[in-house]
Amino acid sequence: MSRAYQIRVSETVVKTVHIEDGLSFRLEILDVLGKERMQALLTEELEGQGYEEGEDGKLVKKVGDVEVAVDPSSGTVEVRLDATETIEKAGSKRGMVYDPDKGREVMANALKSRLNREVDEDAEAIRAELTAELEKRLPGVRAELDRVANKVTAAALKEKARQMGEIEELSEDETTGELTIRVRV
Amino acid sequence: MSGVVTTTEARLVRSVRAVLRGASAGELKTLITPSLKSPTKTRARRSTKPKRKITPPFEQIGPTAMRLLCDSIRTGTVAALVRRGGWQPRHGSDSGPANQRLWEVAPDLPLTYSQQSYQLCRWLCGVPLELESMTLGDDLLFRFAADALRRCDIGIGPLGDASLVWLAHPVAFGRRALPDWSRLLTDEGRTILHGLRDDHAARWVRLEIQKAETPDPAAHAEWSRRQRRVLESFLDAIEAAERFELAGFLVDAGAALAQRPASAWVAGLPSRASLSARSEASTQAAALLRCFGRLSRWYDQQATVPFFEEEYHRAQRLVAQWEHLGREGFAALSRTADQLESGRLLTPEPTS
Repeated sequence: MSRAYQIRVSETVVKTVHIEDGLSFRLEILDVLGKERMQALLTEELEGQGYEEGEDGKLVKKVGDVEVAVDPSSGTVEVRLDATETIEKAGSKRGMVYDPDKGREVMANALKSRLNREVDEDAEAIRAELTAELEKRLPGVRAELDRVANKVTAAALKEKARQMGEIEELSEDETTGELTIRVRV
Repeated sequence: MSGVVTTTEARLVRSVRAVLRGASAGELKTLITPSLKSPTKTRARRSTKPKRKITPPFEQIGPTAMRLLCDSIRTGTVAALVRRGGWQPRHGSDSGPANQRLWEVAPDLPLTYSQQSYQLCRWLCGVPLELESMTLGDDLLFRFAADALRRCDIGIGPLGDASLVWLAHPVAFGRRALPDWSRLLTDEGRTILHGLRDDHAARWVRLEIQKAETPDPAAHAEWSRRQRRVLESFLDAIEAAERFELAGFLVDAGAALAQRPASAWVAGLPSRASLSARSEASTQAAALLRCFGRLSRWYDQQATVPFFEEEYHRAQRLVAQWEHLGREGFAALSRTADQLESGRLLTPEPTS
């Protein structure tokens, strides 16, 4: 007659997860002076705002934990937030089996699967918090880059006006961003 | 014995007729059982009895059944084409009046059906499909069969050689090689596309609405990629052949979509999804809308054809047919693409 054995297994799963989220978009800058000059103006303005040259010619700045990278040649902006967390899950499982060795292996695998699922759920929860944090910071980053884009466009328009002729009048409203240039050609 | 068909032959003919008359999914499921698997091996058994030769179903059908099948296909495809929009009095040939129904434009539409059509009919009844070269008539039959199968939630992967199936179901085929569009670039192809214009336009609009409602950002982005792949290939073929009028259904779809606010394209994306996934979906949707930029360029080119050129009247007809979208509509679609690419729709704007 076969006997049933009660066994208990315990497992611990430790996983280090790297979580990141972000998005990319393009700065809205009119091509007033040609690609190269516009790129130079954008680079100058971004460096004035604290951006430094990073990999692949991009200009990078950290706004808190958020990394903002701008490619001045294309005007593409990448905003990223990442985090590295170590998640540890421990658990145990008790059950009745007829073959203790095989039963222990099966129960241990089932327990590991469950713990891995819990780790994935925790990682997803961390990712959701990361996303919420990024969404909170994004408007501020956009506002700063919009100001950069407006300044670059204004500088380019002034330079273009000087190339065209003599500037008779130049007025700029900093609150609205309105720029009026009268040129005698 | 003439005038008599077997039970299996009757089923074959009834299946094809049900497909072509647009029968409901419930009725279709009782008739069609397309072969979805390759033939499986049977277990070898020892037997002393002489083996009986089993003829695969529909390997041969009688002359009465073949006549009925041919008649069903010939009349059924044309009737289906007329029902799908050919009755609309707005199609016109280059030389005739502007507002004509399809049978007035092409009273003798020379559609031919090859062995491939018969292979398709057999496939609908469970025989593995063997793909051969295809005529425009075969393409049209494949298209109506695909519609019937989709109504029954049955995959249409084996029908991917038919270009009309790709235009109607652009997200069904993944990374599969794109079809040969050359059949659609002929005068007969143009007639078929004009007949299906309303149907294609409605499908592309419905697809955009369904895509916008999908809560899965990855699926949203993948649909856009597949649509764009099909569109770009089709538009390349049209441009090379200078048959710009064949994109009429896209203009109709664009006219319906131009009124939608940009936020509608990403309305279904859940806020709990990652920003990168939502951004990718939004960017891919924008890339699809950019295809309308090519149509806009053609529209402008045709509008500026001088009156003394041979193509003037043809160009003016195209401009008149696309006027309901027009420059304003193309501009609206471009603005929508700009907003989707900017990513601003994914996050709330700060309140000052």
